[in-house]
Formats: sequence, C-alpha cells, structure tokens
Amino acid sequence: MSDHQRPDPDALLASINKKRPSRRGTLKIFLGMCAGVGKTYAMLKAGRSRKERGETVVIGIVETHGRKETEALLDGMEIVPRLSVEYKGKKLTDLDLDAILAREPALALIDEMAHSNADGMRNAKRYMDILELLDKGINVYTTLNVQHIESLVDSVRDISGITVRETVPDGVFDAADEVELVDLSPDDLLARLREGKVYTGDRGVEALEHFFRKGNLFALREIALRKTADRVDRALTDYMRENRIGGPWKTVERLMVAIGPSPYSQQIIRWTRRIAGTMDAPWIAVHVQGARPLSPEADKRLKKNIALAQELGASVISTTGSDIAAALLECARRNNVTQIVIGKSMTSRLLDLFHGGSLVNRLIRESGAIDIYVVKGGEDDPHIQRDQGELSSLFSSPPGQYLLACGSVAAATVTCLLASVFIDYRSVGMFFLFIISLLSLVVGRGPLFAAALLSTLAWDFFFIQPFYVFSISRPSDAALVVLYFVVALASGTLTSRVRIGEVLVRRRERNTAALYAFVDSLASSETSSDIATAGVAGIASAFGARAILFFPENQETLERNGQASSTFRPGSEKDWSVANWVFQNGKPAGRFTGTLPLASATYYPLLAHGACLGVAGMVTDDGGHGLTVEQEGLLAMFLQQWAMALERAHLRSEALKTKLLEETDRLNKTLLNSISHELRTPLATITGAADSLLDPRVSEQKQARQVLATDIKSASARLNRLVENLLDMTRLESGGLLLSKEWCDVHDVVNAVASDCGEELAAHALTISVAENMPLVKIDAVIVQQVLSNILINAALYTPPGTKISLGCFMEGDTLAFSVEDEGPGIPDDALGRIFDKFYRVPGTRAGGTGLGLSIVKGFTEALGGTVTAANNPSKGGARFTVRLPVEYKTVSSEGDFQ
Amino acid sequence: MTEGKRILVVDDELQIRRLLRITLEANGFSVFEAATGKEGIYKAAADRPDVVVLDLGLPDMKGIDVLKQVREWSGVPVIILSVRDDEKGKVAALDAGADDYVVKPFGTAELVARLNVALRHGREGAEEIREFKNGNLYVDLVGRIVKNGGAPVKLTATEYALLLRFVNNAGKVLTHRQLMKEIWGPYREDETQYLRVYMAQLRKKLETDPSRPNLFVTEAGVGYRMQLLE
Repeated sequence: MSDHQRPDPDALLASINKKRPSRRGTLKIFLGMCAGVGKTYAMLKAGRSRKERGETVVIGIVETHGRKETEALLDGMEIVPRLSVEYKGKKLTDLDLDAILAREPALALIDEMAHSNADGMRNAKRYMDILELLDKGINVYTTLNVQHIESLVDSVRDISGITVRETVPDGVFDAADEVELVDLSPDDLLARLREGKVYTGDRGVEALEHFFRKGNLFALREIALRKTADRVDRALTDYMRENRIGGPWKTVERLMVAIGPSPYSQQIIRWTRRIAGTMDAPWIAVHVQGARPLSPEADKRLKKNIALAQELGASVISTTGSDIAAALLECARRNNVTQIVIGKSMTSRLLDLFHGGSLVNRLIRESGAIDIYVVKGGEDDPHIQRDQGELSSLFSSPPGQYLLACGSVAAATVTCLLASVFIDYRSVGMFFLFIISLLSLVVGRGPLFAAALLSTLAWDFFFIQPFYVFSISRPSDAALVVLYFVVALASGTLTSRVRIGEVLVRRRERNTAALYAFVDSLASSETSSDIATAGVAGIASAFGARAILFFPENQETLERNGQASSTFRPGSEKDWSVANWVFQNGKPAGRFTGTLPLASATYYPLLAHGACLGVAGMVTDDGGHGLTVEQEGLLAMFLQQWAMALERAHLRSEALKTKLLEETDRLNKTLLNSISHELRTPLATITGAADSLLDPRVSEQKQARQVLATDIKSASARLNRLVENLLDMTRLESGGLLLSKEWCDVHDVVNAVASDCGEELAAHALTISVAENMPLVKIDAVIVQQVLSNILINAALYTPPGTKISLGCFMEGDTLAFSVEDEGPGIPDDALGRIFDKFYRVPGTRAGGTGLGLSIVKGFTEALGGTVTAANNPSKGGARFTVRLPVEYKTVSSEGDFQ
Repeated sequence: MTEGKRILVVDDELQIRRLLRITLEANGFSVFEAATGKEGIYKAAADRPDVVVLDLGLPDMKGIDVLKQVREWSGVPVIILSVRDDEKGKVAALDAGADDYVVKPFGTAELVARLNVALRHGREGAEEIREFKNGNLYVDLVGRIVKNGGAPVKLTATEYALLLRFVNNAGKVLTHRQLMKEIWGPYREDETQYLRVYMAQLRKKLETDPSRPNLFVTEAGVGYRMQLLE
C-alpha cells in the first residue's frame, strides 16, 4: 500500500470507538419532518417485530395522542408504568428511568426524544435518560421531529416563525446508530390532519392554521431529507475510510467561534456547528474575559451560550485579555484554527474609536492566513430582547464616579474663576488637562468622557471670549478647544486602558496565586484523607464555598459518609444518590446543572486518566446564583489538580502495596530456604537412624540401638520445635492469637519455663532470681512462658556450653519485667537493631536455626502489649534481653481464711 | 499391677495406634483399637476397657463429644491425647470428666506413667486411704498429721483441704476450676488468685525447695499436678 493511502489513525480510532463491541446499547431514531407523519406508529411496529423475534421489548413511554391505529399497536406490549412525582404541589408523570434500568430489557421504546422532563426527575431532558439507558447496555428506539435538532433551530424559525425550545444536541443525534426517516408527503399529511387522524378535536384546526401550512411542510420535509442524506453520506465516508478506499479527503479545517454574553451568540454557535458538521471539521468556541466583571444577568447568558456550544460538540476555551481581537487571534493561532466565525458587530462607530478600530475590521486586518466569517445576528427575532450591548457597559460606571468627575471639573472651574485675574485662559486649559489626567487614574471611561466634555464646555463658557456663551470668536481658539477635547479624551482613554490591563493582570495573578496555594497545599499532603482535607480547605478559601468529598466504596458506589474533613453535609439521602450518579457517569450533576438540578449542592467528578477517584460536592453561600464563568474555569483547574493529587496518593499506596507484596515474597522465599534446610536435617537423622535399626547387624548391638534411639529422639525434638515455631508464627500473623489472662504467681511461670527448657539448657547453668514480694499478676501464662523459653533457648544456642544464663523477674512500677542474661560473645552492634526481624540471623553464627525464635518473641510480647529489648552487657560482656509487660497486679494475703 | 489391663486406644492415625500397641503391650497391657469416635464409643461399651486413650482430633466427631457420651454411662478413666496451644481444649476435656492428658508428641514413658495413675485411681475409687507418702511428704489422713521430711507441719484448714485434693488424686492433673469448686464452692470458681496464694503457701511449707517446686507442679493454663516422687 502506498503511504499516502494509509488511513488517518485518529479517524480509524474514532470509527473503532463508534462500533465499540462493549455492552453499550444501540440507538435508533425514527425521524420525521413534523408531528403526525407516523413516527410512533413506525417505532411501535418495529418494536413489535423485535418482540416477535423473542426479545424482551418494553415500552418506556408512548404518547398515542388518542390515535386509534397507534393505540392498537400497544396491545400485548409490556408497558413500564410511568413514574409520578409531586413537585410544588403538582402531580406529574414521566418516564420511569430506574424501573426500566431494573427491568433490563433488550429494547426500550421511548417516544419523543426532545421532551423536557418534569421538574424533580433525575435528568432535565429525556435524551439524557436515553443516554443513560444506552450506557447500561439497553437498546433504544425513539422518535424525533427534525425541528428539534439543536443546530436546525434557526432554520426552522426562519421557515415557520416558531422558536423551538425543546431540543436535542446534534452530537446525540449524530451518535445514533441508525436513523430511519419516516416520510409522508405534505398533501397526505394535510389530508390525515383534516381527517382528524393526527390531532383529535379542535386542536387539529388550530394546528392546521399555525404550523401545518403547506409551505412550512415542504421546507421541513426538505430539511429532514437533507439531514438524513447527510448521515448516509457520512456513513459512506466512514466506510471508505475504514476500508482504505482512496478518495478526496477533506483538508484539515478547524473552526473557531467567538462567543460572548450576547443572546445572538446562540445563533452564531448553531451556524458554526452546521458548517463544521458539513465540513466534518472540529470546532472550538472561545470566550474572551474582559476586565469588567459581567453583570449576573450577562454571566447567566454567557454560561448558557457556553453550555450550548459544549452541547453541540465544541471544545470551549476561556481566555482573558482587554484587547479582544488580539486575544482571539492568539487563541486561534495556538489551536491551529483555519477559520474564525464572529457575529456582525453591533457596536457603534464611536465605540470602534475606543477599540482602535472595529473588532471585525481588526480581525480581518490582522488574521493573516486565517479566514474570517462574519455572521449576521438575527435582529428580526422578536423573541430575543436586544441587549444594550457593549456601548452601555462601557459607560456603566458607578454613579459615584460620574459625580466625582463632574465635581472635579466644577471645582477646577471655580478655582480657575477665582484665579482668572492672574492666569490666562490657555493656562486654564492646561489645568483642566491636568485634572482629566488625574481623573483617568481613578474613574472609568464613561465618567472620563463626561469630564472631558464638561471641561471643554466650561472652558469655552467661562474662559474663552466671548464669555458666558457657547461660542468661540477666534478660529485659533476654536482649534485649541477641539484639540483640547481630543487630547483630553485620548490621554484619559489610554491611561484607563492601561489601568484595565492592570486589573486583568491582577485578577489573573490572584487566580494563579490561589491555584498555586492550592497545588502547594495538595503537594504537601501525603495520604488520600490529607488531600481531601487540603482540597476542602482550598475550595473554601478560594470560592467561599463549603465542600464535601466522597471516596468510592467499591466499583459502583461511593462511601455513604463523605470525608471527615468535609465542611458541608448533604441534608438528604437524595444528595448522596446524586453524588453516586456523578461517580457512575463521570459528569457533573446537581444544582445549576442539567442533571438532577433539585439537589442542594453541585457535584463534580474528580477524574484522572478516565477513572473517577471521588466526587466533590460544593455549596456556595451566596445562595441564588452559582459560580461565574471565570470562577468555573478556576474551579475546573482546582478539581483537576485535586484529582491528580488523589491519583498520586493512590499510585503511591499502590506502589507501597507492591513493595509489601515483594517483601512478603522475599520472606516466603527465605522461609522456604531456611525451613527446607531445617526440616531436612532432623529428617535425615531420623531416616538414617531408623534404617540402621532395621539392619540386623546394627540392631543386635545394644549400645548402637541406644545411640540411634537417642538420635531419633533429639532430631524429633528439634523438628517439633521448628513446627511449633512455625505454628506460633502463623498464629501471630493470622491474628488468631487469643489471650486468656489469669491471675498467676510469677514463680510458677519462671519454674515452668525452667523445666520446659531443661533439655536445651542441660549444658548451661541456669540461675533464677525472682524479686522479693512479687504480687500476683494477671497474664497469659502460656504465652509468657513461650516468650521466655524462646529467649532462653536462643541464649543456650548462641553461647558456649558451660557458661551461665540467668533469668530474672521483677516489677518496674506497674510493669512486670523479665531479664535473660548470658555470658556469651554478645550481639554485634550492627545486628542489634535487626535480631528481632523475621528470618534474620546474625552473620557468622553457627549453622542451624531459622531466625524465627526471636521474631516470635517480639510478636508475642507485642500481642501482650509489652516490649522486648536486646542489649549487650557493657561490663561483663554477653547479651541481655529484657521483656516488659504492663500488668494488672495485686497482693493477696491468705491471712484469715475465706468465708 | 498392670498385667492384663485392657486399654482402648481411640485414634485415627494408624501409626500412632501401632506405636501405642507395641509400647503398651511391651509394658504388659492388652490393647484394642478404634479408628473413629463412633467405633470408640461402641468398643468402650462392648469391650469394657480399664482405661481409654482418646485423641481429641477425630475425623467423624469431636473427641470431647466422644468423652461426654462415654461419661453418660461409664466412669472408666479417660486419658486425652492433645496438642500444645490448646489449653482451652484440655481444660474443657478435663472439666468434662477426662482424668488426665498427654501432649503430642509424647514420650511413651510419660504415657505409661499416666496410665498407671489412672488405673490406680480407677481401682482405688472406692477404697479409703489412711496414710499417704510421696517423697518427703507424709500425711496421716486419720490423725490429720502432715510431715515434711519427718518434721510436723502446721496447715490451715484451707491448706489441708487443698492438700487432701492432691493426695486423693496423686499424679493426676487437677484444673483450677476443679480445685476452686471443691474447696471454695461453685460461686468462686473464677477467682483463681486465692488458689495461687494457697498453692504458694503449700509449697512454702511442703516443698523441699519452694523456689523450684517438684511436688506441686504447675501445668500452665490448665492447673496443678502432684508429681509422684520415688
């Protein structure tokens, strides 16, 4: 294959994703040009035939509108009862999503994809319900009228004059696996309508007059046909791409649309989406944040526009800059944009003067290789209230600033009037200019403009001949006044622009600082719960919000109670289920979002590399409205950092686990090595001795028999000790050690140990010293005995025969202490810290032994709540082990017998 | 004394049964075996053994349940084969009527000694002891005289009562609970601290070397035993 015929890997990947063989359900849309063409009928018929093939088919929701033929098709179908909710006293019914999810049918029939759900349902829109069903592997048949497709809203309005409010995003429509066009000629439809087959009763006539005009129907039909044809076309392209059929591939275009708070942005966004769709090009939407914070109203509109762009498949970028044109171009270049779409500017000439030329003109002038589309906003739309535009925002400074501007001019005028005897009118002009310059440091552009105008008038009125009239006699003075006005305005504007730039920089700096502080606090937290605490605190300080963090309990649900450090607790069970939904779906939900908006907080998933590591809930204290667009951008960064920090902690704990596993593995290997040697040696002795005993020549000699039997006995004892040690260790490690404490006489314990170890200590001299007046102590005597015998045997093994070993017992305050001292070589200093480690044996010691004895001592002592230490005796040499146990003790006298 | 005494060995391990048969027959006992608990109960009833050696870990039923069933109708001495680390199991079996226990792995000499003690108590159950001698200890049960190495020793009432328990069960292990119950009654069974005190007193008065007692031996976690001295 030649190189240029190789398909684009990205495209291949996309097509693989599209037909992912996972459990995701398939979506089939029955598309019609308008109501009444028989979509529901077609859907039900298709559903019935699937049912006849033996599949489980349920009807999620179907509106028959009283149509007889349609109702007949419902006969014998399984209908999932609708869910009724009460919201603000009204009783509403809607699709019962959870019931269908629980029923798990192969196919669900759900009418009217564009429907908006009743308030109080989980999702705001029915298509979201459908997406959830698809996610859970349930196939869906649904119906849709072409006018409900988001990017066609404007076209439909142009044709019918009706603004459609219930819409389905193009992305959802495009992602459908199959679209079946249900077509009917307008004449047939009108006939059906007249026969009352579409709407029953008077509604038919009303509908006829309004929507079902023949012209409308023709246009809508054309749109529907074209939309379907587009899909067919794209399917063909996909097929060709997959099968490496050479063809005229489209060049890589990338569109960018500039959006703002203006309501016209919506049309421009839809327009861009349509163009991007036909060009099969990716597109981005850019919003440039100016210095001036937006009014809550404008911010709300901006958020709506951003949401629309996201819904239609754009990736949205927010950037800041006082110079919109420059910011847009920079963003375009960074993202390899080939075409920029902007709305036809509504700004006035005057405003252009402030901006250094109109936005459109500047973009065209400076865009270079990038194409610019200028799209008209729909002024003729009566539904959209005309925005006051940028002009008003330019002059919308607080009244105080206007007052200050006018006051300053008035004061300057009065001052100059008083001083007019000493100064001439030119100096007055200079003085006014000075005042304007000062003002530009504190007030906005509007007040500045007012001050410039006012001072010009005052100068003319009071100081330029003829006095006290608004006229100028000398041409040179006239020129001076005009020049003055221009200079005042220009210098003021320039200063103010610098100031705005500063404000922007400061704000950006503040955000950066907040983010930095946040990242810093996360970085210094190690564990997940520390990170949770730092995150909650960071969000509280940056957004003035209370937050909660949920960690996952398992693959599917979150822990019910959020992290302990959370500063907000959801009031109801419902909020937890919202958070759970967010966890399962990886999308934000809750207040101010389209999903489950009735929750008390907004919930965001903490995503890192596709995995959801937790869900953060947030409540802003200002009540009414949510975060501004700028804050949302910042929050997104916060959440990203938070998720990354959590992932880091997660990875670290995973790494720790791996290390632990490796350690266990190493121990197991050591165990095997050490045990196999220790097991084989006595076994070899026993086998050999038994073999010899079986030999008649040996067994005839009495002395030989005795020796062999003794060997077998001591080898068995050694084996037995090893097995007991292993069992002890297993008991310790499995946590199966149950203590049974009883009142004991320490003499008993010490004596029992001495007699237990009699054989092992035979070659040594054991001295026992128990302090006077020892009280009765409450201990587990068996375990304590094991601890002491292990230490004693250890001492016997590692000291030369004939040396002394002494066992002592005494009280240290409330602590019972045992000490074992020997006269051996002692413990090398570098080994002191390790001798209680499992399988550790001091290098160079004699063969035999597993390195288990002392680790069992330590394990048992700790299980008893005590400590064991090893040290060398500095004066006499030799090792000294001390076991300290916290005990309950009492002195009981036997004086006077019990009653 | 052991001639012809019949020992029933209940153990599922063939090797242990064979070892016991050889050792015990060499010591003059006659041995018959059972491999399961059910078989053991059946043979305990049918063959009327003089002592039963019972392994606590049987495949078909718990050893302690075998013991309880046998105890329903027989007072035959029972010696338990137990493992280390199972003090609770030992105590439970002793409290349920077992006479003594031996910990696996055991020496055969130890087992034979236990068997002999059990046989003696089984036989002497009804007989009255008037005089008792063990090492330096001498007790005249009729005259209530206690001597240590020939020197008379004064005991309090409780000490004497305690000593009597040991004398009547010389060589046998006695659990804390058994001693407490028999001396102080059933309500103070768990207050073993008193027992410790009295045992210390007894040792002080009767042991040759109280700091290394060999007459009253402690069985950790289980109880005390009066060792038989030559």
